[in-house]
Amino acid sequence: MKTLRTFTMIMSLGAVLSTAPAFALMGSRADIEKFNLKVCTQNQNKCLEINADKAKGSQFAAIFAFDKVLVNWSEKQKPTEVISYSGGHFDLAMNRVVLIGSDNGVSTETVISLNTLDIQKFTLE
Amino acid sequence: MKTLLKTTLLASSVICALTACAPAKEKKETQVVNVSGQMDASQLTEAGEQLISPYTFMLADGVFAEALKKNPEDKKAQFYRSLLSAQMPLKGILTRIKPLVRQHGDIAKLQKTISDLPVSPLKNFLLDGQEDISTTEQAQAVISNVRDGYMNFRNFLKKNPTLELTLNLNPYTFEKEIKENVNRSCVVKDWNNQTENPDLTVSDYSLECSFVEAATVKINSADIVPLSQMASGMYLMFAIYNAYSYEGLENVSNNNDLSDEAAADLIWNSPKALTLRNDHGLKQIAVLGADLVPAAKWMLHYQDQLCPLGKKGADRRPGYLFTHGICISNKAEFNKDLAMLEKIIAGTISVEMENVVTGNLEKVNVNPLAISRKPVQDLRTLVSKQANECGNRTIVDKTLGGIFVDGNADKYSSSACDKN
Repeated sequence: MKTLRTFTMIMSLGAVLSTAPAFALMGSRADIEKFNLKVCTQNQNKCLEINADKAKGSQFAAIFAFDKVLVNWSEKQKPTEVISYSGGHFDLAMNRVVLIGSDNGVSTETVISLNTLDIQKFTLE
Repeated sequence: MKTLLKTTLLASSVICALTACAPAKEKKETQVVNVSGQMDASQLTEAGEQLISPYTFMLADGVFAEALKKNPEDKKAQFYRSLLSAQMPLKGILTRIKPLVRQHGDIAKLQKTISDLPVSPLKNFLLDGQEDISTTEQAQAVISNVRDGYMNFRNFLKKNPTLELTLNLNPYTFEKEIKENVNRSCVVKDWNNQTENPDLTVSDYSLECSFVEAATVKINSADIVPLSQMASGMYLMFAIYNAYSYEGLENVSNNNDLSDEAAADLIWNSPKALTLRNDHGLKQIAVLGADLVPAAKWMLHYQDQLCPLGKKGADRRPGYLFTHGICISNKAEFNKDLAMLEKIIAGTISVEMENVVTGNLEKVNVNPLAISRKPVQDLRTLVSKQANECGNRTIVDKTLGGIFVDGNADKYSSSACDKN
């Protein structure tokens, strides 16, 4: 796996080399214009749709980051909920989306598993 | 400051020939990095960048500090300073730790490590201190500083999630990477049609290369995420392994012939052994939020660096203070548990565990992060000092520090006697 190389173009920089991991540069990065991702549960009871103007690719890992993102939650027999977040990322390796927001001035991270559409919310104090 | 700049200037030409530990070259090459008080912040930062190497990073740190005095908002200098903040606490460590090594380690081995280090700013940096670490607690305090350096880097990245930087690579340190970038920048073109055709096999073609960005690395918001996860992984590892005091354990780890009972005597008779350290850092684990699971994956990756032989054995890491290394004993099991960790971070979950008395699989409520939310003050209070009739220690705290929320840890731990 080539995911691990240039991190240490950054991290091995000052690291004491005996413990510094070897990292890899993945190669060229790719950005996605008009990012759209729709995922539903197997029984189609719950669907998640993520829209962002642009998703920036990482050269280190299979990650796409967005600056502003709109999330549509639709659940059977419930009105569709639209939530906007200030940023976030789509982690392909872990198959999850992390959305960054704020709650009464406190930063929050919402983690959505794309396997199950389970949500976990963290308050970062 | 003048001294710093002079040192930087004088040293860098010498060092940069040494950096990257490059094999002997036919032609001797040197790199001169000029640094002066007249330079503005961005010029200083770019000069500092060229000092980023395993042997000169501490000089770079000084130059970035000066750049930040001139412009505290210089993001690139902030990035590098926060990145280096995990390495700077190691200043003087090879001298500082001598009293402790004399008492509990192999001072001859340490001296050999020192004398084998090439003359360089790195050697000066690692030796630049007083012999002031004589207890394990003092050594652990340095590890805490390194740990906090990783948190500092992570916090910088979290505060700057949309950061975009172009990093200029030192051509000596990153020679290999730059060459690869150059190779990647070439495209084979059809000579006649001028159409891109990477599969061309005929000899009638041209190669077009653009070297403009070969010596740079561009960082964007998507790169900030894995960097932050990695820094969290380092924090997590140091927080877990450095949370409890090793005071009094030195004689146990250095003596392989010690009986189980004698080892227990040493541990239980040492007032501080396995007690929660004041700056344990465990509570910060909960703040890692979405980074926690990837951080645990990073930690697992580092195991390959820390446990090079991948199995238990004496002296796996010769020359190090903790020669037995820091290893996760069952990596496959840990990998499997990562999937569960996703659920665990939310709080109490129900997992299936084997009752060691009946052998049946049962649902058990566990909250594995309890130990970070409300850390146990003394790990010795969790188990009995004396082994039971089966040779195992009995679990005294049936919640095992709050992990087994129903207070039934003894049923699912090998401390209970097996049904057979």
